[in-house]
Formats: sequence, C-alpha cells, structure tokens
Amino acid sequence: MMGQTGFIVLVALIWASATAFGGLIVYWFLVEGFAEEGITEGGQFAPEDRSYTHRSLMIWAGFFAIILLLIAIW
Amino acid sequence: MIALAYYIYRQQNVTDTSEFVTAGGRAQLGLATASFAVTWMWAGDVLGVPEYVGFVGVAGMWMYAAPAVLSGLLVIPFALRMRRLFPQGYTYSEYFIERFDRRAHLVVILVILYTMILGGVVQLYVGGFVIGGLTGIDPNVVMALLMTIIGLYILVGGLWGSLTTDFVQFVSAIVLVVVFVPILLFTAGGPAIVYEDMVANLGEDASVYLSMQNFEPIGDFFLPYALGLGVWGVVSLSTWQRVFAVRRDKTSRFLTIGAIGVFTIISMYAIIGFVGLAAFEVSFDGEGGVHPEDLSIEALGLLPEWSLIVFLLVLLMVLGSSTDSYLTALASLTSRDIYYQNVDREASDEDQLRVARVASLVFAFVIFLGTVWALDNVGFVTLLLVSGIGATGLAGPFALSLFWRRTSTVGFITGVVVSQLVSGYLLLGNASLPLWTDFALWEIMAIGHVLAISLTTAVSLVRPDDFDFEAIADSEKAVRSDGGESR
Repeated sequence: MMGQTGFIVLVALIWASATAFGGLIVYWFLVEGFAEEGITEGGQFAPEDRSYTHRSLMIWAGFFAIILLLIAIW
Repeated sequence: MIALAYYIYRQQNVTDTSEFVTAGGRAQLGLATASFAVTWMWAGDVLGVPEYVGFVGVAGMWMYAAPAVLSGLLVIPFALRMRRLFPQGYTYSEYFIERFDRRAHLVVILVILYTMILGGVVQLYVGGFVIGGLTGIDPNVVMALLMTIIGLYILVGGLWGSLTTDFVQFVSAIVLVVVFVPILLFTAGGPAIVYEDMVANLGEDASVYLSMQNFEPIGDFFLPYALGLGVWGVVSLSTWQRVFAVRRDKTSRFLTIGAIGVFTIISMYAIIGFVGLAAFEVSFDGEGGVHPEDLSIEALGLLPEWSLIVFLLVLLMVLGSSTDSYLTALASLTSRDIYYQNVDREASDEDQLRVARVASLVFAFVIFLGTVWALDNVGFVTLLLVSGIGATGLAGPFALSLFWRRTSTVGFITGVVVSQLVSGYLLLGNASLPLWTDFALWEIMAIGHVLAISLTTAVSLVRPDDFDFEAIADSEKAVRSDGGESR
C-alpha cells in the first residue's frame, strides 16, 4: 500500500510531467509555427531517418521502464 | 473557434481536398503533436479516469492510461511504412484499394465508419453528462449546441481548422489539469489530507485501493481497453489524418511525445477520482454512497463556484477538440472513400470538398442522435470499452497486409468480416441464440483478434497474393493515393 509521502510524490510527479509536456508543445509551436515556409506539399519532405526513429523508440523504452518501476515500488 | 477556423482557412488556403483532409502533409511538429494528444486524451477521460479510480483505486490510473498510450507506440511501424508508400496519401483507407481492391476497401470503410461514429458518441456523451449534470441544463440541449458549433467550424476549415482549434483546445486541456485539478485538490485540503481522508473512507479496502499492484480487476478494466482502444490508434481515421498531416521526417517523434504526454494528462484526471474517494464513500449499488460512475461529477461539484464555471468553459474546449476530430475523419471518409471511390470517379476536387462539408454536418446530426440514445441506455465505461471493438477485426489483417506480400484480398476480407461478425454476435447476443456463449468483454476482443489474424493468414496461405510494395512506393499513382488531382 502506498504511504502518504508516496502519494504526495506521485501527485507532484504527474503534475510536473503534465506541465513539462504542455510547455514543450507550446514551445515547439511558438518556434515552428503552422507549416514549413516554402513547402507546398508533404511529399517534399524526406522520409524519416532511421537514427531519428531509434531515438523515439529509446524514449518509449525509458517511459515504460518508469511505469513498471512505479508499479513495482507502489 | 469558428473565427479561428476562418482565419486558418484564409491563411493556409484551404481550397482543395488535400488541404482540407490532411493539411497538405506539411504541419509542424508542435501543432501536429498538440492535435494528436488532444484527440487522444479525449474529454471522455474526465469521466472515465475517475470512474476507473472509483472501481480500482490508484492502479486505475495506469489501467486506463497505459492502453491509450500503447496505441501511440503500435502506430509507429504502420505510420513509417505508410508514409514511405504514400508520401502524400489522403486517407489511409485508400491504401486498401492499392493493396487489394474495392471490396476490401468497402469492408474497411464500414468498420471505420461505425468506429468513428461510436468515438464521436463517446465524446458527446461526456458533454451531456458532465456539463448537463453540473449545470442542471438539459443534456440534450448541451449536446445540440455543441454539435452545431463544432459542425460549423469544421465546415469552414476542415483539418486545418481542426488542427488549429485543437492547439487552442490543447492549451485549454493543459490549463484544466495543471490549474483546475490542483485547485480541486487543495479545496479538498491538499494531497496529505486527501490521502488521510481516503484511508479513513476506504477502511479495510484502503490497502487494495492505494496499491498500484491491484491486479485483480485487470480482466474488467485493463484487458478490454488494451485489446480494443489499445490498438484503436491503428484503425482510427483521425489518428491517420494526423499521421499524414505532420511532416513525414518527424513521424515517430510526434507519435512518441504526443502519446507519452497523453499519459501525464490522463493521470492528472485520476486526481479528481482521489478527491472523490476522499470526500465520499463509494457504493457499488449507489445506496449510502456515491457510485463510481458519478464520482467525477460529485468531486467536481466541490470546486468553488467561480472555478467550476471556468472549468466548464475549458471542458467545452476540450470536448470540441475530441469531437471535431471524429467529424473531420467522417467527412474525409465520406468525400474520398465513399463518394469519390464508389459513387463518382469523375468528381472534381470542388465536388469532393462540397461533399466533405455536407458530410461534416450530417454526421454531426447522426452523432447527436446516437448520443441521445446512449445517454439513456448505456453506462459510460461500457460505451467506452465497446467502442474499441472495431479495432479487433482490422488491426491484425492491416498489419499483415502492410508487411507480408502474400496477404491476399480474399484472406483479408475473410479475416475482417468473420472476426467482426463473431465479435458482434458474442457482444450483442444472448443465451436464446444458437451457439452463443457468455464471454467477458476482453475475451470477445481477444477472440476477434485471433480470428482476424488466423483467418487472414490461413486463407492467404491457401490463396496467396504476391504483392510488390516497391511498385506502390515508386508509382506516381500511389503518391496521389489513387485519385488525388495532379498538382
């Protein structure tokens, strides 16, 4: 059973994560805007680079490791 | 929202079907991620997550959020492959014409159609239930107003309108969880007091409710979600619209950050459930306490009046984002997949655009009628979980078709149709029908997956295809997704 301190830490953790997520997306939007200047159709972009995909998958691995850890300790 | 959609209509020149349906495939990462996240986090979570917490406790948080997030991961290999084959596809269902034929395409359309309508009903249900419940306004009036406003701004801006209003609604959702959920928490005394009140209220159940390792309800809450909505991203047209809308060199990143971000937002909604558990005793028969289904409404009722009003306004924004996504998806389905592919192959781009706009209004009305019925006849979590059943028939055969060249038309159709018919029979039937057996919802969904994959594989082995994927990737016809105007 989760203790009081654990509960407070959990609430703080998910609040900080949600805030960070919101901040990141707003930052991206402010920096990048709606669409790339001068690009008129999506086919002009190159397919995604493999190393870029690997980095995304690493983010996923880290995320699931954290979730499993939280379930294991609480 | 309507004014914003009009501004985008002028700024991004939404005058052809490609811009209306997929935002031209050139949307930036921030805009597309916000849109994906706000489409996936659903207004339904305001009701669903606290209800899960009411039934399961803190473990309800991951039982609800993890399957929703899993969708984002599962879509990645599909999305990368599709964007290689169709750099500028309009709707992913058109892929099935290239890969198979019009019969397979028709089967896919039917599954997506009812799945998208159900998705829209789930969203509008929340509007009627939460806003109607907290304000005392007739839920039908709330829902009619919502659908009118959303139908109008989709009519103007199409997916560009949806993406842009999604961004505003995304910020609203963040404000909702980062500001208003903590206000609720501290109104109830803060996290330490909420914890103590939960322990006192739950009594001997506290050890179960306050454990992340409460695995016992997994069959009722986690598995049906994981097997249905957990793979829904693969067949959801609104997901695919965003996959084709984002610049394709950023495909995996927007799915990754968007989906993981959704987990954090969904988790925040769980706090509404914690406050409910602290303030009220839970009663599963509704007598002498609050039923988990009503935990969200009762807990939100604790908000100070001023913040409750602002909360409702923000919730309206979030509701709009969820529902408009389904409307644009249905408009695109009607215009491209039904009208152009099956009714008038000579239809001009202007004609298709007109059909898309009319369809957005017609489906707004259909979703409204469906929700009026559902509100009186179906519980929210049941509706939510059942809405994922379309995915069980389509996800496996779709995967096979995309990565296995021998997957044949007859195998694909057999797998999808038989799986959907059997799942529907088991779900809607009763003991008076022949061969009907009582299965749990997650078992029905598992049967659906197994049937779809095994039948597609077996029939394709007997009557194999030999599809050349590179031919699609290299052909100009594929780039236009079978029918888009050359530009």
